[in-house]
Amino acid sequence: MPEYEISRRNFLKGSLCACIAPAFLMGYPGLSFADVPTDKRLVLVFLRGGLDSLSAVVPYADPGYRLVRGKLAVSQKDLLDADGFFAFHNKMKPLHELYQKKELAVIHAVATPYRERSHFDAQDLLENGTAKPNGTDSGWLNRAIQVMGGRSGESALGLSVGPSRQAVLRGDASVTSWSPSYLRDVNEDLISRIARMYEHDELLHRNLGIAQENMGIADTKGKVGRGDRAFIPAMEAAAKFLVRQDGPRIAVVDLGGWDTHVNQNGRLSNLLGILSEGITKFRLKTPDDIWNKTIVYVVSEFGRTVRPNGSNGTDHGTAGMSMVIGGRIQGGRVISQWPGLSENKLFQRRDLMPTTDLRAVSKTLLGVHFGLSPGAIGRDILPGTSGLAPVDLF
Amino acid sequence: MSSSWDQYIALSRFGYGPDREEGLGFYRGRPLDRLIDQITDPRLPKHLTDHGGIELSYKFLSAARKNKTKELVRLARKAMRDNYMGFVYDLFLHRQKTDQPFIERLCAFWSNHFTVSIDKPVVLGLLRDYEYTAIRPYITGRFADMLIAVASHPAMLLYLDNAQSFGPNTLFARFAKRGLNENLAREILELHTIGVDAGYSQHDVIAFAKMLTGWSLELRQNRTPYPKFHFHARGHEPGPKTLLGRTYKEDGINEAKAALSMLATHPRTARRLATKMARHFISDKPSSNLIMKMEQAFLRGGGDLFAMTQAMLRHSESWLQDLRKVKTTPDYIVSSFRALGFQPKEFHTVTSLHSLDYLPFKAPDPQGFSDDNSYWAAPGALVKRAEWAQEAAVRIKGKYDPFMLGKQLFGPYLSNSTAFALKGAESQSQGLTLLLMSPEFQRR
Repeated sequence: MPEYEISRRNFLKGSLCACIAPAFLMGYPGLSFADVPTDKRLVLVFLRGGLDSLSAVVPYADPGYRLVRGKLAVSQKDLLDADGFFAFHNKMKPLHELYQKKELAVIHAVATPYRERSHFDAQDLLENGTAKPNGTDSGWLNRAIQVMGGRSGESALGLSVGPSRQAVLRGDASVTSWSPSYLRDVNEDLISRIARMYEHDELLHRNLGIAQENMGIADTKGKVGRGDRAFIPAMEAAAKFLVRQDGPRIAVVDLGGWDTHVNQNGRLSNLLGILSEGITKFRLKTPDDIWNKTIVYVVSEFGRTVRPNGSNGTDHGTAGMSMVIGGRIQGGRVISQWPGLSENKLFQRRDLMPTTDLRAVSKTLLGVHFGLSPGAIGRDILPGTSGLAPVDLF
Repeated sequence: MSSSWDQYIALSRFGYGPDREEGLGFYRGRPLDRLIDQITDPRLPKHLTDHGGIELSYKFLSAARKNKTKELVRLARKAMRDNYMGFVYDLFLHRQKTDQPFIERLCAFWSNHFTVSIDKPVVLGLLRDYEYTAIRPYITGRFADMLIAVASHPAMLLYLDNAQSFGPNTLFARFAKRGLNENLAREILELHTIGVDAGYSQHDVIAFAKMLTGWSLELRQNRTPYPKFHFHARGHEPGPKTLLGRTYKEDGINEAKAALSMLATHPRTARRLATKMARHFISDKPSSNLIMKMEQAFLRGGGDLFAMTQAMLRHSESWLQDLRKVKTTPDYIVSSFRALGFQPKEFHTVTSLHSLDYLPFKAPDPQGFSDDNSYWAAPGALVKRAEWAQEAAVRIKGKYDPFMLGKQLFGPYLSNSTAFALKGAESQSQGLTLLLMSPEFQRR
């Protein structure tokens, strides 16, 4: 064996010594994952840009709905009834089916503690898990992984799907990443040679090591979607990683483009269709026994204005919606203390009034799904949430 | 007092790296003076400003709108796409060949600061005009001029929806059924100037959006072959408006101009721009002294971009030998072509960018592309660079010794471990791949 071959474990440890790996380790990426401390899985789907929740899960029986939404109101024939008050947009038919199987719950009129209207601050706050933009440098899912026992330099329990790591996964616990490629693979030997050049470059060395871990796990070549449709193979890849016994447990996948300021109806139906297809693909690639241990958690940084703006679109708002999907939840419900749509019920007379804190949903998933202790959640993962009542999801 | 270290820094940190033929020779003499010469006398490359494409693509577009035949729609799409790809190719080829590489880096920086995205396909045909009339003329001028040029350019007005924002109490709003859209106003405050923590409120955003009402396009299509700026006085919200505590009297188009000039010279803007530029060129964590020097130079000249850029160049931190920045993907591609002496066709440029997940003028959001090392050197991105470098290396015709080329390109920067890897490569193409993947080449 040439002297420059390095075992994957040593990449991850950032070791400077070029150890010679036992031959059987090479080519079996699975062996480099240590025992995984939980068998529960979570996929966070982040709808970036601010989902117009009033067009996705529509409060069609609210007397104010058609009045206030005007031309943007979804027409009756395009609605799939949920509970006599809310209805799904018909582009979300697969999600409506999951709802009917009681595997999907909607939490409506939900918001993070953020009350301004910047995308970037709102996303940062949702991802850092505090009540402030830039409140801390790490992301709450990374801290959750640390509480579960995932550490720097050990097997990655976090998975970032897409070209760059999401802030919600930022932090000390190691996180792996995957994004699709159009190019011919490089072989193991070339990667080892490159890695050797990076021995004195901490960032490049670490990231190449992480990348090498992932090669071969999620081979979706030839199925790379373009543009927004890339979400669908991304969800497929997330499923392939998560079903592995020794693989990551928490994945984050982005779907952007929800910032619908202008003529929103066409774009929105398209995106709702892609969202539904991606989640369906994920479900199909997940065997039933794993599906029963899995939650798909759909969030967006804020909702949009209740009234249309001057361009048949909507501007940045406050409360919106979230979805929790999984084999073992008490789904088939829209969970909401519905605030109503009349002007005096709106936040600052323009946005849907938040009645549920999104962190209560996150907290419930951490506590009930992953079984983490209330102390750790309130102190280390989502500080300041000890007083929030959990949401009745399970 | 020039050393070959400084020559490499000038080439790579402030340009697109050494060329295979020239090696480090481009900055022979005084690298700092040569960089300052460039910002003292920036040239606008004439061959890039050709407007033929823009008229053609919008001619097809308006024909296709009137008469939605499949053929016309196809022609319009094709003309738009050709226009866009042609521009991208011209731009990237120019970056590779120019004798003012620092100017190109500055243009790219400012163009990213004022991102417009082809997510709105209507801007496809306008990119060339946007870059050459709203960005380039001002990169060493007054920031206020650039800001006003950007805010009144059809590409930005369409991208951030101001073209269809009209005062709620105007005739336009009543007859065209178009009202206020606050998108551009908010992003100018948050992203282009003072920044989100500058302490403005929703009232400020709305007031500023009202000041910008009527900043739109010529709507009578027979007057112009393609989208052009037009101020619609009858779509402009009447009455005084209060922005950041200062009240602006009703004054038509001049209201927003005054507000933009105020924002462009605001101390918060100075701090944000200085920090952003230092993070783009020098380090993810620039020192507060570097930022302060740049900020002061900017403010002393009333928003002077030449002074701020010069202050960065003259600061000792800009010449530290440590290579602290990872190259961005587009710069990685251009510098690879230079290092290999590769003459790309349009096809090579476009597919290279695409396969490395970088679509020019398609940033994920109005913030533009990131300046963080961790973004450009993410695990997946590094492997793709290796895959791409492997493809590029096999396309090189002729015989090259990777180690000798490394010595010529990197000069004193060639490290022992890279030299060792290049000497031990099993083939020329593997050696060239390693050269493009070396830390000396990934960083600047």
